[in-house]
Amino acid sequence: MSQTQSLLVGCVRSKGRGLVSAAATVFTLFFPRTLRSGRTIFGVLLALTPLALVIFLGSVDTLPSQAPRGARLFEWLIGLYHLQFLCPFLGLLYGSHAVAEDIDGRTAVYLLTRPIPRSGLALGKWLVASACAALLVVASVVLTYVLLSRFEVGAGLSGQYSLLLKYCAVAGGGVVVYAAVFTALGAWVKRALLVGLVLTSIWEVVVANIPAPVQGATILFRCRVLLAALGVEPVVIGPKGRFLVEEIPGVGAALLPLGVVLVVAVGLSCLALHVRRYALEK
Amino acid sequence: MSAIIEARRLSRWYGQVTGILDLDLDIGPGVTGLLGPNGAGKSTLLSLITGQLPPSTGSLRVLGEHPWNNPRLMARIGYCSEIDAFYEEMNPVRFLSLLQRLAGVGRRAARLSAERALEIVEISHARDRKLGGFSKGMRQRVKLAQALVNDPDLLVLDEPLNGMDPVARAATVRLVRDLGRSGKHVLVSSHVLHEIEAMTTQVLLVHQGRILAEGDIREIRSLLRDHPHRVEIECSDPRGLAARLLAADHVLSMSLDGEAGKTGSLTITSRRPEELFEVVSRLVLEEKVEVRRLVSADDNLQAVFRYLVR
Repeated sequence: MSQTQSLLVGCVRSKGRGLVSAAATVFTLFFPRTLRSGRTIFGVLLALTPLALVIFLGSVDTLPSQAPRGARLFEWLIGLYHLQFLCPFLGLLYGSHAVAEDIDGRTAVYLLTRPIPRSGLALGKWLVASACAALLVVASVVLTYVLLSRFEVGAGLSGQYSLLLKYCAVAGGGVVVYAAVFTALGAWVKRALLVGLVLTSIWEVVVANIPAPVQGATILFRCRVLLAALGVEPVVIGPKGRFLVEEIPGVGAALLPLGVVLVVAVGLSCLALHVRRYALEK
Repeated sequence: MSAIIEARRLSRWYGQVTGILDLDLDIGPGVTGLLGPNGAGKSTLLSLITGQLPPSTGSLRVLGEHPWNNPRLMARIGYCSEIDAFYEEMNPVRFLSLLQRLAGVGRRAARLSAERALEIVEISHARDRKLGGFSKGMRQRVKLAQALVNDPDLLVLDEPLNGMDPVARAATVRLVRDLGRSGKHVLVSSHVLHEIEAMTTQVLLVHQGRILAEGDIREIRSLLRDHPHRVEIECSDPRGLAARLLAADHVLSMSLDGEAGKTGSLTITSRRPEELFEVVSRLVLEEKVEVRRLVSADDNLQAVFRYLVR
């Protein structure tokens, strides 16, 4: 009997925890795991693509005279590849799996039956997705800058750290917002990667480049506005080669719409974990 | 003693499908078996108890608290789900430590408690292997360990013996009984009557989302005592066996299957199967009748339910 009374000696009960502490723990525990996942290999390949392009451009003997060079070439690369493609797709890659991987993989049962606030889980998972995606995007921007400034085609770029910093801030901030949107999508919708892919391709890539007021409802447009607010003319493809904005706002005003999208998306992720009946989906 | 789990007019449905219907329930301390055929509503009830689902109507209190969206209560519950899913790339120590750290336990304490839980379920030898390479029985034991690791007051085990080999089954049955003796409350579900019988005498029979019977399993057994049992015996001399049983007053009918010669099987309907088993045992020992197979077709839970709902 004395043996049975001490059966679970050594097992430890927690006292439970608050939202922020829970989110921080989820981040600490799942960040290394996500960073080591197969998604990161794919993400790294996407992040390295502009470097291959820079090497190609640097090795070409003669470029057309009207082709951008130096800082403008850097802006073209970041504006057209990183902001328009890499940010939404890395946000989608990590965000759509953040909560969904535990639901689809049916490991959510372990998380939802632990003494941890469900909002803390959602918040922590979004932080993991954001950190992974932002790490790759910012690393790609910095490496593009470093590599380009070493070639003749990037002459004049060296030393323009303010420009680098601004692009890092906008690309990093943008991908965090995308990750929030796609984390929410993954928490609410099945096959979030597919839905997100369609959404990204149509909404963020096509609509954001249509010179009509509807482009204002895209995250890409808001990133470009932020870039303009920081004193950098954003690179835009499209019929007029520019985006529609009557007046360049201040940085705070430019950040506001992105902040609203971020807060709403993170809120929706938290709400999903509170109201969705994941146990029914097994 | 007050109830550990109390339900009043508890219902849970999924669209048009009923999981649990109008349940009034008081589960006391100790080990309680939740018995029911597949689809009876056991897992729904366990999902409600472990706070994974809110009730559609009615109320539910577990250890005095509402379980839905209640992280504080989760610190007192250990849940072994029927779902066979893990972070496959992890080893069991890392998996259990992660769950403990998620719950707010410090790194060292989490690791030590993980190791202790694995020791309890006797799987320490595989502590460094990846979960992805574990057999079904080993995975069941890891699931059991993660339910024990936080030293819960109430353990909720959904079909914990599924996929286990006989040795692991016996160890788990012993563990559940010991947990009950050590003052823990255990609610364990199964669709196999004798599995539950080995763990506890307190049972709850669930059928089509309702409680069909509750109480001591022996009372349910006695209910079944007069219910005619069908027993199928495959032996070397079915005709000889039939001749011996012809005069027994508990035998209601017999039929011979297979070859007309020496081998084949005999299906007997008996009012008192214990007496029938005694006769068969005597024949095996004294007259060397070779019995290859003996199946009590009515000893499974489906038969019990068929009888009880009649």
